[in-house]
Amino acid sequence: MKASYLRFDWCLSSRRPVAILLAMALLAWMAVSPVRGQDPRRRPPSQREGSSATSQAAGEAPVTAIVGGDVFTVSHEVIRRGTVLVRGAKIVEVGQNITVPKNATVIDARGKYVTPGFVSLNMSGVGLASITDRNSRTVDGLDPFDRNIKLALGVGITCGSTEVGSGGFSSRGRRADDCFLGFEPQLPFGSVLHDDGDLHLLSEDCEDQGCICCGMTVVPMEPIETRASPGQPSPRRYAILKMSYGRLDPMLIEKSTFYNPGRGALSGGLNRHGFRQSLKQAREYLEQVTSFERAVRAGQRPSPPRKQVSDDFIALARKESALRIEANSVDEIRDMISLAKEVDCRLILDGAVESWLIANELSEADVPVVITPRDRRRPRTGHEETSGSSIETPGILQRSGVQFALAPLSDSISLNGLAGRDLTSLPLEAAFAVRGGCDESTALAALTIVPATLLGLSDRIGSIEPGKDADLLILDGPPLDYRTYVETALVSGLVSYERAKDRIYPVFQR
Amino acid sequence: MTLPQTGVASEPTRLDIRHCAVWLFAIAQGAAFVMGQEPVVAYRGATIETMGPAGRIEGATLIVRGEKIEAVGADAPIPETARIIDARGKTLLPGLIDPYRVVNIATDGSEPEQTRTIVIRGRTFTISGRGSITSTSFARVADSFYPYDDKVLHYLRSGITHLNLVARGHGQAAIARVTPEQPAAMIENPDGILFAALTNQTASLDVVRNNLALVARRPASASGPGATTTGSAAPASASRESSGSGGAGASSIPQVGAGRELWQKIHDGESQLLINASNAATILHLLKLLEPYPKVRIVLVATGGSVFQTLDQMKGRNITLVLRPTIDLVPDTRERVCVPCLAYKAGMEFAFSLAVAESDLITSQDAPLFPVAYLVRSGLPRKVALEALTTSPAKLLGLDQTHGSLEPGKSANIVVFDGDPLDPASQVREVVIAGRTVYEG
Repeated sequence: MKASYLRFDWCLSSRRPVAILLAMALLAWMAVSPVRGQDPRRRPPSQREGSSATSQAAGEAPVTAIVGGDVFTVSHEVIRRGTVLVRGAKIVEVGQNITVPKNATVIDARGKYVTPGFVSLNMSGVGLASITDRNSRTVDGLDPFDRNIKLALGVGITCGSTEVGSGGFSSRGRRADDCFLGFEPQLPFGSVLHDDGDLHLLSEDCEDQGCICCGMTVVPMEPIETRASPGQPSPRRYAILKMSYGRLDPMLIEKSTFYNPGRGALSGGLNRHGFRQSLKQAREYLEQVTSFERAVRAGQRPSPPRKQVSDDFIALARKESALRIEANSVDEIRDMISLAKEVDCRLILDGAVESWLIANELSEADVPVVITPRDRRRPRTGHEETSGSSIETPGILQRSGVQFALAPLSDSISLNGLAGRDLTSLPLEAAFAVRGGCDESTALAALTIVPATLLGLSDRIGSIEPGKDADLLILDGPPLDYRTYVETALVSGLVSYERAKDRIYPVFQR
Repeated sequence: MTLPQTGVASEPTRLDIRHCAVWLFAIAQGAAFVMGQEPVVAYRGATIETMGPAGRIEGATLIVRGEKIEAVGADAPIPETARIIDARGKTLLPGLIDPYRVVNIATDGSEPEQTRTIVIRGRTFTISGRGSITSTSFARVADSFYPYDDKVLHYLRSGITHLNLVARGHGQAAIARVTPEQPAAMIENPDGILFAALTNQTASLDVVRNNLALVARRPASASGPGATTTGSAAPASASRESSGSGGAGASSIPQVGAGRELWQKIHDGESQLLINASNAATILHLLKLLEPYPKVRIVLVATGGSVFQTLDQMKGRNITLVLRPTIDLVPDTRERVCVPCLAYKAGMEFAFSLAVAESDLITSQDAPLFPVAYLVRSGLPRKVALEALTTSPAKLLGLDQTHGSLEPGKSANIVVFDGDPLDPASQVREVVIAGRTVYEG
């Protein structure tokens, strides 16, 4: 009873085609299996584990599918004629062989290019009324119907950090005698936690009349703001805004971003000393807080630590925010790098005109820069090798491994004068970076994932990956081409801009 | 000493006095009878838009007794003592009610000086002054009402009989009737609804936010500092309790209790809050800050463009709109849109205000209801348009039991047109408020 398949002449029998097919299948499987052992990051996103499971998750959230375009994921490779599946506000799947659910809204992107939305680190006058009153909160000044939002979306900017006035997130601490101050940073301005756990609301009048509910005397206690020197302006605050036209909720992203003390605020021994002291006090305060919490958990009732520095320094000490300062010459850059290393805080350099000269030092110190390639400086005659700046800077920085983000020549949107100088020229900066020798993928990353990382939002925006916010652009040409227009822009999953409907930029078929 | 007698009866006194007394008594009774009876007026043969369940009645009679309407109908019996007015060919409409009319009230100068610092091109300017628009003091319109308005004839020629008066900033409105001959009786209800003008800024939004948070945390009925808090509302920032207590205004002390109770009623949904939103962003901010308070009912005054932009997000919320009867432009475009039509299709209640824009009132005097007629031509149902002029404003002001329609038992506020009210060629012939003829054109 020999099994016939064990005989050598089995392949010569009538089962020959089947045998050949089986053999080929076996060989093919053996060829493919080494691939399975590769680094998962290098696999196309569609083959990653769990991707099919998410697409079946029960959801009330509307599903959108962008089908057929070339998807520039930025974090991985370009996917030709790929599909991006969006559910709610998030991307759920990216790949080539994705089944689109029946109830999905399909956006046909054949022949078009899909990129992540661009992130601008310098933005002004978009979506936010200028705030001058120091008691105003940024969140109340948001205007989601600002036309400038559409203009920004029209070039692809879907998120940006904007400077707010000195009153942006100001919090003057007030403390009522015998009421103990809650040290929670989320307590809003002017509220105080009473002994019985009750929340008092304090206002300016309480200084004269006492706490409105219990009548106790109120003594103002303001955090000491360390000014660099009497003549310097107070540090600039930033708010991160998403360009979600017509919708208020996704617009403001609450995050501490940068601490920018102003140009020249850290030059000079006295200013540096003040800065170091503030950071030291911030670190001490953080230690006191941890020991206080430990004591409270142990059941004691210790006195709460007094916060003697503003929240900016506490965020710096925690490395939640970065020191962002303008430094253009080689000496200034070196100064800032050494200062940041000494006080151990994150550093981001603005301007960085001469950064190309010391690119390796920047790369060693892991300091990212925000540059404007088109802002050129004439070199000093006779010192062309060691001065000036040109559009070659991004290429040089890239080769040395320095992370850079791009900033436009001007922060705000302007509709008159020479075109290509205002906020809407941000993609043009990337195009010039490529012209100067930088790789296209690096230039695109400088518009997307690098500024997202600098803002601390790299888990939410900056690239097209499952799990990130659906901030997507559908372009009618390659991303950095001067002829390219944004056809459709999605912010947090909803279409916020359509070139044909909004008629802000010229509408024609090429 | 006797006077020369000329043949008069010798016992005159007692009989004459009794005669006089009887006559006087009779006359007095007669007078009382006549004056005690209220005047009855009957309009006969008119087309009556009752704005009630009876709808539009042709060739009907309306009987007014005193200040109220006694009967309406094609076969209403006319009392004998009635003064009959032949109203054939005319149309009777209930008096129009304007739900939003801004008046300038005299400030008492006790507002605090406010300083603002602005930076223009690197130079700092400090501006100080009394800002009346963003002032935080509570304005009670009834207290500072000035009855001699130069627009009285404008209102009457447009058929407006009642106005809801508001001021800039925030405070308490008052309902006034347009009776120029009785200035003292012009205020019908001095305790109207609360109103607030909101813009896109913290100082403005805090007026509503803080007051609602305060009454949510500490209901007005509770007293004393140790009251338990319900703790459901998010803690508000600096409580400028300017709606009643602790404000810098000198007039705020007696209103400490009143302000809190008014806000309490708003929080519980018993009365409405009238908000004038300056732009679409403000509407979104308002919707957001109302999320913790689902019972609050809002009357929203906003431009058509702002309403158009935020209509999707307002659907299903407790909002009544006050709109200008005009065709609006979609913001930032040249497209025209009929916002009242859209609001109607979305199922939102709305009322028209003919006087919300002063220029409308002045320029439309030849044909005051022409803008409304234009909207009807653009697709708004006629019934809805007329309701938006009469019953809707009455309802949002809380007057729907006594005003807003021509039904028995309601106040006699009638406008007599000599044709269809929405026909630009027809004019207002007579305006009757509380039974008295106030205007005859």
